[in-house]
Amino acid sequence: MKNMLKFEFYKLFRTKAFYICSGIILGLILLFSYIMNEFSLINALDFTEEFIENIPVELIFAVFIGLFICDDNSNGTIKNIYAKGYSREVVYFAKYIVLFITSFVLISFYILFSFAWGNLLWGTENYDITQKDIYIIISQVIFIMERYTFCFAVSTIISRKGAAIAINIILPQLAEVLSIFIDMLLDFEEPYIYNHILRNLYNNIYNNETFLKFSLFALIYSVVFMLISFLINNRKQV
Amino acid sequence: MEYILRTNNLTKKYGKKVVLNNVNINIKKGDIYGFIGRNGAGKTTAMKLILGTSFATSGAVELFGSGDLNVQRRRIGSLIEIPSLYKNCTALENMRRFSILYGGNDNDIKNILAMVGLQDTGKKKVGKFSLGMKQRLGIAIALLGSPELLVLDEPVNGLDPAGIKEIRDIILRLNKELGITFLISSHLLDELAKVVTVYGIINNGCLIEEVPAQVLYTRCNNLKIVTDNCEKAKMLIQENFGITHIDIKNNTLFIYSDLDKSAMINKLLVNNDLNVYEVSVSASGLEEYFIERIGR
Repeated sequence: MKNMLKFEFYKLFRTKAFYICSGIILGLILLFSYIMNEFSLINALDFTEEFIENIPVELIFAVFIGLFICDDNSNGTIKNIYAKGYSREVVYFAKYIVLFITSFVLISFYILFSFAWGNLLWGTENYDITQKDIYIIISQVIFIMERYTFCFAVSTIISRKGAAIAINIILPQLAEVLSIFIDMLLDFEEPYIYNHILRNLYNNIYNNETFLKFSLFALIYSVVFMLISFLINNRKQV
Repeated sequence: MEYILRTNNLTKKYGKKVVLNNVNINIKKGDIYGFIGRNGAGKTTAMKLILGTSFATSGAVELFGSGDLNVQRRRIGSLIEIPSLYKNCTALENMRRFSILYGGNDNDIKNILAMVGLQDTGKKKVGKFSLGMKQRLGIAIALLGSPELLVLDEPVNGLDPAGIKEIRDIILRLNKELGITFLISSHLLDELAKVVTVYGIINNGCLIEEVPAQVLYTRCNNLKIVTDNCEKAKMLIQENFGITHIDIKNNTLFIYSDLDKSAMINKLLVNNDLNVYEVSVSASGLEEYFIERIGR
């Protein structure tokens, strides 16, 4: 496992896509701050929350994760790894851990950076951090980590860069539409499945209970995605 | 006898189709095992099962006398089908990446690259390498971590004659100097014949036979002697040279071993007042033998 983790980190820091995607998000933060300044937004907290709400970080992650995870399959180098006695379980978890740490560090960094950048531009005086602000920020991290697990699972199962990226981006949107359709078919009084789509849970956080519900569903979805992709990956022949 | 690799009734099915049927491969330390068979005979599938990139339906693989395959696979280097490389990286970067998993330091990498003639590729990306260069890099990667067994699937496929010779020389050198055992598949039978010590002939997923190269050589080649008294000639040859594998067909003597003694045998027969009308070495060749064994 140690060698596999070292191998994946080594590859990660030598992958251009990693720097390009990270750079794009940083660039978007800077661009967004310029736009917000034009709209005379005046405090760092609002700026951070607006950034979280408006910049689709998960889409950029969807591209990067698709590229990184499918790289060994598209080059065929996964054969070299398995043939050297590294089990599918070790390879799977090494990739998951490396990208989990990277995604967590990156999203935390972006939030802190946008907050720090906002403070630099608009000063530190005129805001109070409420519980709702903390919910918004933590739930964004949870949301991105769940989306990371989803993208990881899809990319592991599909193993082809283009298809994996497309599905990473399209499937969450499609799931929302399908959930509305199923709710209509089942003739619920109010949308049931749609309300349990993670983005909707995320959009409706306003107290402890809704935050916990959101966190629990993020965890459940993550476990399900991991379990499915793990089982499929273990049966893959290359 | 130390076996590096043994398979026990290795079988692989895709649905109802049996692509490998109870295959028993036995490779001893120091062998260069030539795995020969038609396209789709099951060579690559067998190699994939041995390396664990594919799963057997039934049967077992034993590596270095152990069934703990993932541990023992660390002692194997492999090149299956086309070389699997990071195309956007240089040869050196590919080697560095794999050295984390396979073992080996910068010095080893430099030596191996020099051994396969890729030490001067500089910043050229692997995607722009010729097929021969990719094959050599594939072998270089397989050599990382000082493997004791190299599994090479069609290592000279698509190479020009010079490239084929380079790979052959590398195989022979590694076998002789470092004692590395090889499992090699190839369609180029005559080329394979220059390096192989044991043949495994596979057809329709069944291993037809395993035969040492020396035995196969004698089966494919014989010394043909036309003389006026075959029985006397046979007796003389047996008494003087201890050669036992002699046949008489249509008043002609066929000797299947010691073909290099043709001049001495000729002299012996003439000195014993036999008329010798013809002495010739007949070589049917590996290809003909192979075709005869698997059927047309």
